[in-house]
Amino acid sequence: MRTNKIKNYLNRFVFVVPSIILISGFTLYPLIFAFVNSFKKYKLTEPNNNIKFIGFENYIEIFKQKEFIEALIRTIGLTILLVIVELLIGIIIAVILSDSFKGHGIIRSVLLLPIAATPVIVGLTWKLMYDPRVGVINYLLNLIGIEGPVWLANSRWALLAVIIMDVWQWTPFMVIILLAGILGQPKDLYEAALVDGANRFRVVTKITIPLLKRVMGVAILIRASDVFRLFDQIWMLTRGGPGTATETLTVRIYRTGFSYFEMGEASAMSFIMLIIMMIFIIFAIKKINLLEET
Amino acid sequence: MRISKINLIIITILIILFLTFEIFPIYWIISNSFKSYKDIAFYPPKFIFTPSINNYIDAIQRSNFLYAIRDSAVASISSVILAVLFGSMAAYGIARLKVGGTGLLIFIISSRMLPIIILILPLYIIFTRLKLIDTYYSLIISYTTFLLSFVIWQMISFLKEVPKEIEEAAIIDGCNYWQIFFKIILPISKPGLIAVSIFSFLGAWNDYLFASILTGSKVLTAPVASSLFLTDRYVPWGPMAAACTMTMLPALIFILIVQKQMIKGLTMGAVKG
Repeated sequence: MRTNKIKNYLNRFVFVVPSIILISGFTLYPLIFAFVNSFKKYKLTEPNNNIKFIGFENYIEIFKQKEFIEALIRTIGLTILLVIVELLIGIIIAVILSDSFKGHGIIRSVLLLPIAATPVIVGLTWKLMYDPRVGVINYLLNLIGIEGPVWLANSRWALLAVIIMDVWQWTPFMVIILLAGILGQPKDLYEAALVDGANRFRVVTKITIPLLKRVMGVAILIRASDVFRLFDQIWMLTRGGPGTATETLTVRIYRTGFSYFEMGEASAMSFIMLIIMMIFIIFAIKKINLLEET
Repeated sequence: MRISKINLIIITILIILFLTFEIFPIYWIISNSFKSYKDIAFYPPKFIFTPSINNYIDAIQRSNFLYAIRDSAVASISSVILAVLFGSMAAYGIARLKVGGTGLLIFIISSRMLPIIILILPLYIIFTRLKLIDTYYSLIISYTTFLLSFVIWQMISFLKEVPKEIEEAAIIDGCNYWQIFFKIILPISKPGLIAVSIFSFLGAWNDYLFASILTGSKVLTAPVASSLFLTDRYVPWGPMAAACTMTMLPALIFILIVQKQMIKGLTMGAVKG
């Protein structure tokens, strides 16, 4: 009887075995490996026997680096800014689409394209468009009488260039999620408001947006954790430059690990990044659950 | 809701502007891929020109771009198949057969939250030791692992909506778990599997970080091959645009064909029902 029970459990357990093996071997083990490395002086270019434990020295060292602190602040700032901008534009467009345009077919197809576009290609495409010599953006600005800047060579404009590129690629994602949320809302509330003579703006602020809270929460969670890891597009567009003006955390870690070969420091940086993300995600998930209960 | 004529005009213009903004970069890279060398370097940029396919010939001949497409296809299609198979097996095990419980679920889902960059440094060292660097295996293993948690997560929430009666009847009829999984669970989950596969495919096909570190000479994926056109001194915009188009177009066409499922997948976690 007992052996039967064990046999039955093993029969069921087999189903999760491949996943457990893969995730343990290629996520959990690398994670532990990185954690151990973050306490080592580990330079890829030097022979293995030069690797030694140095305690928290990597962590102390990276917080002394101006570039790391700046990348950290820049990444957090970019995340907040991009999420707010994309959410605001997303709400406006989604509200308009939800009641003025019945046939969403073509509009939806257009909105899916940037979302599906390969991030590296997005970076290269915008690089071509921002180009000071042949770029189409400054040409179009010229048409309406604006002298375009040398986008990618100036620190401030380069950061704005990154922002525009990300808003371009990910606002459609917000629109699609929010639109699905709005279309799923109960119609009777709207009819009641209409009978009461509420105007469009009041209906949106008093009914549509409050009812969208959970959907917005999920969208913010997804977008924020994506922007926080932003790499491919920036790496193509500016390589983090000019100087370090557009370096995000991932770019900084990539540089430290694969240009300077400081594996120890890079690992320490990625753990700081992981801790910040964990705090944010736990906070966000709690917040969303709270909204669900009320 | 009633809207006045003037408002409708303003709103329409706003939407058209937004859609133009969204479509323009994609139009631009594709149209530039058909420009001759002279037309690309021309200022002001040309909107009307005589199309040529020289850039494609150049990109294919000079950087073996068709091999890059092949490598991308092999790596992403194999990973999607493996991730969807293993992932739905695990989802069935966790959701239906009550294996592992919440502890296992948290373990799997939290692996999804990790930034790739944290794993890429150790994976590089691990795959070097396994002598798998610059092979399909390193990519397929990494992609499959990374996609797994997403597939498991989505498939568990999909299975929750599916009634259990058929499975229970099958158990009474004497079917074993594997028969139930292949004959009942997989066919029932088809809509969910399609949505999940689309996202997994996009994730693998569009990847740059894994591919740029774990491969790069014997195996070279399309995004990495496209990125190589970018050099410090001189950028061959035409062939680069052709490479970009060839990398992006399969994904875009694929998405337009399956757009209903794609939207379902996008909103699966956020919107109920």
